[in-house]
Amino acid sequence: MTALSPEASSRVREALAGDLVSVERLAGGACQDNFVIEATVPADASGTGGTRKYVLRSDARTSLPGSIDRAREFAVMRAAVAAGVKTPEPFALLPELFAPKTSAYLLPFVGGEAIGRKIVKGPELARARETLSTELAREIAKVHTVTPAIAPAPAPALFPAGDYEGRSPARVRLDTMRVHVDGLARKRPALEWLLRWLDENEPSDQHSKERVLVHGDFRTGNFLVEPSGLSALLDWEFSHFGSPYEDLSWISVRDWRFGQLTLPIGGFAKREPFYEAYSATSGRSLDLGAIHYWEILGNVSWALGAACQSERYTHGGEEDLELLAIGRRASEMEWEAIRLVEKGTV
Amino acid sequence: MQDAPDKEAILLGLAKFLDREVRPLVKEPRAAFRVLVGAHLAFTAAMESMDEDADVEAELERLRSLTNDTSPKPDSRPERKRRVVLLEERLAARIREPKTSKEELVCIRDELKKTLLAKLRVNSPRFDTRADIDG
Repeated sequence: MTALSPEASSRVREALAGDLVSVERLAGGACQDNFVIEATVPADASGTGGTRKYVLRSDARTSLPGSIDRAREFAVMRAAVAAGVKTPEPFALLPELFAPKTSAYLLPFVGGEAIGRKIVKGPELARARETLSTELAREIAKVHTVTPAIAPAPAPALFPAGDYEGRSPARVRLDTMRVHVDGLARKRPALEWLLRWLDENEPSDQHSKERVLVHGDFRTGNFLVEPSGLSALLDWEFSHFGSPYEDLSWISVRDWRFGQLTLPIGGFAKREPFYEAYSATSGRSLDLGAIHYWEILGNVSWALGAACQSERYTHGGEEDLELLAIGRRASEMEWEAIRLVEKGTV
Repeated sequence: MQDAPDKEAILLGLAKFLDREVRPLVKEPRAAFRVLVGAHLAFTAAMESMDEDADVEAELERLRSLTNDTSPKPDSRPERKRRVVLLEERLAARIREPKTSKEELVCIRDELKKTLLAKLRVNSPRFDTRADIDG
């Protein structure tokens, strides 16, 4: 059990009120390090004790633009749990467990499949796929019940009011993308063209102007699925207050369909049942024109993300082969965004 | 000029070696994926090299037309590539310019699609570029 220092092990043991059996480091994301911990814990109020699995999630040395740190993620997930969302409830926020100015927290381990191609095609999940889109619609509707006004502290600080003053959620996204487009070492005329289109076609419907808690990376690969159905939403590092359409469209961005292009909801379902279940749960009547806009914005955002990641290699000194490869994929998202503009609808 | 094999053959050979011989030996999933990424990059570089002169020439012509560039056409491939980067900046500025009309933007979009198609042919040869992929 060498993954944790003696001091970190001691703090985790204390937080769990148990003994650590094993600690396994998982392949990390760009913003966090994850460990699976097995521990023997005493019986709780329900009388269940014994060996249990947990996840320890810590800030990594690097972060991505727009991502939140673990302390904020902890607050967001607790707000989501309070709203009834299926996501593991974090506990024991552990400041500076590994390094100064970082945080970590514990949460129960939840089983299920997160690999996109298995979710969209795996025969063992065929039954789960029948109801997955409606389950997800209901869950994301619950996420969208959290607003800056009702979110428990420190969640309102997730998105400082000053960042929003006088601007719609779409305008905030466009302004952020503009900064990153201008920062690219090599200009991309296609991205410039798409930014102009987004700038001139901002939707005016009420839900595009609304501000609710947005998961921010709501797509196949960021939720767990078991043969019986959805087990949990994961990966809240891009959550913020924004338009509900951000989540409702991101799940349909072409890259997140994992090759199943005729199934626009995550590569496993048609649009209508998902939108109907969302409307029925949330009470929001959805505007397909707005979804079209936000899906284009999602593709542009991902194209820009790919270009920026590539420049972390070519201009930022990060010699990671995957960063090098992702930049060459930006044209896929640019093509898709232009295709959607020309099509005029989803 | 070097002897055979040319660089395209070397890159394709490297891609096949990584994919067919190295990847099956790598049991750790993350490392195996990275070997696949490496093979894909070598394949991409080979594909790019095969038609590079024609692709750069076509891109330069599109950009010269869209930016009204009348300066003498560069002779060497490195100079042409530098000019492409310069004209991309000019085109980006033209797109951003408020006085660029909707009609002009539609023309620019049509040319940008040609550029994207040329890039996708090299980088993502299996990417479906049909207009109605939703079914």
